[in-house]
Amino acid sequence: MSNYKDRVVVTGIGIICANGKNVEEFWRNVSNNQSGIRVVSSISMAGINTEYAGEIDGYKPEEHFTPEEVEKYDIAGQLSIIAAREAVQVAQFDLAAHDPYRVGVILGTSLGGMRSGEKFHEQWVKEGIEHADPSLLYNYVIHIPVDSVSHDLKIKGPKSVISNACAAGTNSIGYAADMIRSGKADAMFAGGVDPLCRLSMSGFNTLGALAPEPCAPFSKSSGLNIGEGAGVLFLERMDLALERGATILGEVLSYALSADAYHITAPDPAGAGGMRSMRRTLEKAGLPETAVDYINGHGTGTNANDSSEPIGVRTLFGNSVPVSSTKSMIGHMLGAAGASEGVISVLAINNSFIPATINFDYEADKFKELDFVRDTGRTQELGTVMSNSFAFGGNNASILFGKYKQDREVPALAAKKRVLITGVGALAGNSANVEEVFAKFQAGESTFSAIEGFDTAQYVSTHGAQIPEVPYRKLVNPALLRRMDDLGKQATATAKMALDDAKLKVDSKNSERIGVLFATGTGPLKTVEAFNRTVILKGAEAAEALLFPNTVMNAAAGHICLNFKIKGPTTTITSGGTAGINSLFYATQLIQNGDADAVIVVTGDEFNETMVAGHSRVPGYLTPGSQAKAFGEGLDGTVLGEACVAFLVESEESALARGAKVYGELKGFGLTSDHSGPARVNRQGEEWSKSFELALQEAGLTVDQVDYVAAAASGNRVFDTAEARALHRVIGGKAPISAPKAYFGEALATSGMIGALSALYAIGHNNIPQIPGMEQPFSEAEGLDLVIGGNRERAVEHALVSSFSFGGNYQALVIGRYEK
Amino acid sequence: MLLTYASVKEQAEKRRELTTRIKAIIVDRLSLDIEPELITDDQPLFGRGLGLDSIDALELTVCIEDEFGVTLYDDNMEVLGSINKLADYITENME
Amino acid sequence: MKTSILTQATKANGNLIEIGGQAVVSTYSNEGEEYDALRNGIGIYDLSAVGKFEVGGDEHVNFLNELVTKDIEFLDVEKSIFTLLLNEEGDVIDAVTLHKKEESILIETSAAGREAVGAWLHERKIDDVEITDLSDDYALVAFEGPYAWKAAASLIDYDISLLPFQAFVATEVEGSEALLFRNGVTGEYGYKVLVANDAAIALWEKLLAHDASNYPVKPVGHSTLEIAMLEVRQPNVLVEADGLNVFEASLEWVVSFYKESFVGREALEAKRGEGVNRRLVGFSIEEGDLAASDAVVLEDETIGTVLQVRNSGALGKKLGLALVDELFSVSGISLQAQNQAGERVTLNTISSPYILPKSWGIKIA
Repeated sequence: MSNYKDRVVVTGIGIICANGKNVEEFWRNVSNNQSGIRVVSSISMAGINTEYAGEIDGYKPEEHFTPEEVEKYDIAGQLSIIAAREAVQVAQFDLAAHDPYRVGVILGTSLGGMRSGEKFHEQWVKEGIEHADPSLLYNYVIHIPVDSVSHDLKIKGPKSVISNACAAGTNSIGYAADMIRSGKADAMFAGGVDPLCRLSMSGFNTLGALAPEPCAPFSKSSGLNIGEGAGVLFLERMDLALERGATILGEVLSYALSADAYHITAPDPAGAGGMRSMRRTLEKAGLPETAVDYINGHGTGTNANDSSEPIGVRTLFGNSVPVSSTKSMIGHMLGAAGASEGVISVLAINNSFIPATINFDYEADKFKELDFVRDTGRTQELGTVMSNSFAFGGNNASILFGKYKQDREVPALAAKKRVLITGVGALAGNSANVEEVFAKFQAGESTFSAIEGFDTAQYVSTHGAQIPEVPYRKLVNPALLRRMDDLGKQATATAKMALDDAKLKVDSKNSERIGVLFATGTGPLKTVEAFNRTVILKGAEAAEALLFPNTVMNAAAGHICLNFKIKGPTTTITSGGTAGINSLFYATQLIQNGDADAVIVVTGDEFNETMVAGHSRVPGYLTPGSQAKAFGEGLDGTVLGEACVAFLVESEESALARGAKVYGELKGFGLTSDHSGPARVNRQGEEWSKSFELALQEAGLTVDQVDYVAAAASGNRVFDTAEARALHRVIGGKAPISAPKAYFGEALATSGMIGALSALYAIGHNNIPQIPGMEQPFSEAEGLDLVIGGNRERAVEHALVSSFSFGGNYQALVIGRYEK
Repeated sequence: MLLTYASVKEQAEKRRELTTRIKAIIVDRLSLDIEPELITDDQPLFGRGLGLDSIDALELTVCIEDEFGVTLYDDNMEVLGSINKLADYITENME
Repeated sequence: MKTSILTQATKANGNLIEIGGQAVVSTYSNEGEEYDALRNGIGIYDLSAVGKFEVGGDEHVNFLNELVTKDIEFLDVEKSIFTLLLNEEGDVIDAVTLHKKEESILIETSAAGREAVGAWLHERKIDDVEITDLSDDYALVAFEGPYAWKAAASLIDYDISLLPFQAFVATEVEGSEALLFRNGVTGEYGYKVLVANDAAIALWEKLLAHDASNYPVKPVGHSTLEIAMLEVRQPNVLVEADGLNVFEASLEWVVSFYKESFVGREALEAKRGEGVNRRLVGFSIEEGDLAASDAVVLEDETIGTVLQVRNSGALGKKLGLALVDELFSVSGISLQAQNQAGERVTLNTISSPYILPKSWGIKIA
């Protein structure tokens, strides 16, 4: 069969969690129906209404790492490395012998380095910011797990982080498969990780969601037990796996995402979010419901989940398909749940064994006719296994794993579609909409203003790029407004601006064909800080229920879907400064795979005291001045900014059918990473320049065809140096370069979208914005064609947008003027 | 028992103070976008009326405890039926 | 007075009264039995007399949003909302429920307000809006009670627990296209079915035939319904708010004050500015006779008027509403009324809901 290149197989698995520190131990316990739920000893459970969690049994980092490594890696990084190492070992894949740019990593996580973050926060709150250890800060970001994995395994391929709560693990596996099918990687580490930590424990506690004893999914349903750990699958393109003689453990047949928009109201049962993702994944794999031999359910053990999930399963599959909850054994591992369940699915197939739902309370059995594989697992041939993850915030993900069959009919991949930008919305420094953003570019006017909202005496920054007052009531459903924090309001408001700009009305006919992607660098930091501060100072008993739903990274995406009643695929990307560009890439994949006709891509990043305080502890990161001297002489740090940008991204077919106005076309992406380690970048900029090359290659362009480069430079010496070197290597003096962060500050993920917005500005106006306030470039940038002293009037057909994340992630995008 | 205008007036004023205070606390703690005096004493609070939901109920329990030292229990749905019912419960249990 | 097809077919020996020119059954058997069914089992009632207007056209949402007091800009398809219609002077024309369909909105009026609402819609009609009076073409059958959901379960093909309050769904009932609303006025589980007349009659028979071995199932007349509404302070607007403004009738909660523009808004702001001097308050009495128009007094001061007095089945005492000086419009105090015989009756002001609906303790299974 000639479809081997279109198929993605699993050749390695790795896991560490409550039921085992490696695959062998893990499967032994699972197939013996063992519970890994135990009384917690690794973190304080004071004020929590339970003693139990799916805690790893006696985790000793020194058993896996050198003392130096233990210092270097946050626990989430450690667990991810352990699982990734095992996966690549099982796969017997020689990383050193392979082109490192062709192997990447995508992990799902809700917390990332939050254990380090909590420690930092506690020190700050109890002893003062000056006494808070900055090394903890470097290790706290949500993308610490992927940065740790790429550092340890020395890979340089596409890197991303998915944070749509409990669906993240399943989603990551699917996204990694997409990455391979897109041609951007030959192999991917895919999975998820989350540690036990007081933040999530207190949050679920305050919602009354924790079970006081070991959980009983699908029966007593007295609540969930949180779990910890990491699960990783090593995925490869099938033809390459066969070529190297790999042992294939299974195939990733398909996956699908959907949004709940919270209400189960629709008369058509297919309207329920979970059923949508289940149906869609079957459709993509070209399989009927009857093909599924076993479903690994979401089965958290809460009443809300356990009373609705079985109804969805029963409606779609009837009573005959066994569905079990392995969370009964290892707890709910949040971002790692779907990943561990993916590992379980592969093991189940290879061992012809269905794991049980243990701790089953027969008297509380509400769905007696369903086969929950009560208490004891059993032997059964499994050809196709479905794994479901239905997340907090209304994100659903379903994935299908197939027993390895060399020849298998799979639906053909669709012909390549062109993807266009047809609507824009923005909130940024001194700008309440896109017109005002463009006006700044036109006038060469930066937007930094003195910080007035809090006392800056102890911090480095004196200025920031701040969003002006916005009449949210006019842009957002007033009934939902009070439940949103600032980030949620901004995200919903800009999504509305983009939808209105694109003249796209969401109704019941198209709501399932529209997707929502949210990307952020640091997420809802203000809400997280406030929630955590209460827990630190007053104990978990005082944790505020109203705040917790907004502490998750995917809250904003959930608010957008709910506000507009959008039910298509949704997820949240949190890979730091590259998240914005990465979400544009993911949007093209959703459209390419036929999962959506249009996707709203929204990025949002905050500016507040917490951001300034934390970054003040990083030497050289922030400038005390009033300008961000991007690439400029005397550059001494950056100015932070808050911003929120939304694009409506659409297939060409859909745009033409609607007669939509087109701003530009997404023509090529270059996704690379380096292994410099947590919080670092390779100062030589090699991998960064490779991202430029790959983007141009995909767009089919030579360097001479680039009319404008929107750099990621921000005035930070380390990062600007790396980028300048990267630009020299590929662009040299051949294309005019500007730096949008000199206008709107360092807004992390959103800066990538602002860069893209500057490209749309340049294309639309044939005008390249200058770097405001720059007189002389700094030494590394000499020789580059920087636009200074005035805007450059020039025809702009193609623009290159650069983005990076510290920790080593580079994602470049080519946007072109759209020609039919 | 003879009800005097003065004594009933005093009682009424005390009661009004209590319901006014409860409304102000709810609006503040639940971030409601409404002036407290536009909440009526008898209107439904959950579902429709004020449109509160289960997360608000959790927060209300905490703030009633904080402000009045009175504990609300999960199974006591009647108490959350209106501002008046809340005020009745607080009055009964504050002694 | 006009009698609808459904009412004609189902009135049996019920006694009819006239509301808004329409015949409405006041009691089918007796209040005690009907109340018992409504509060302990399933009470079925006939809403034929209410107005049902379908408003469609390109501008229908903006048109209606301008006329109603609640903000309907974000009202979703298959959702309902309870709101007021005011005139320019801020007086209540009626309290209505809007049901949002894909291309139109269905307005359900009260029986008494049917004509006034119809006239108002036509008076304010603008281009790109179509108004159709469905009142006689369709019947509206309602049923409420702690077990009403058991009767509703057979009317849709998915789990009845999945239909949220104030939502509705298209379905088939007795062979005809119908809409099933989950909406009630008594605090119990409540459902309504909008369907063609002949199917409505068949539905009524079917509901009456619901298994009554564990709980009572009976038709319920207007009289019992009014008592049950009073017990949970569901506004019986044209009765209670007659001659009162929105504030005096404590109807602020049915208004979205942040909405920038709607008919009557200025008048409301003006009234608010003038101050609210009197307000409705609910009361119960332990003993004595009382009637509407009796004065509410303290010592020798008249501080208000009794507006209505009813017997509450569940409480075993009389309940009522009085309009009193704002100062005294609080719950938990005792006032007096001077009745027709010149006697003083003690009124105890009480908090809503005056009874605990049994439905609040029952989960739809």
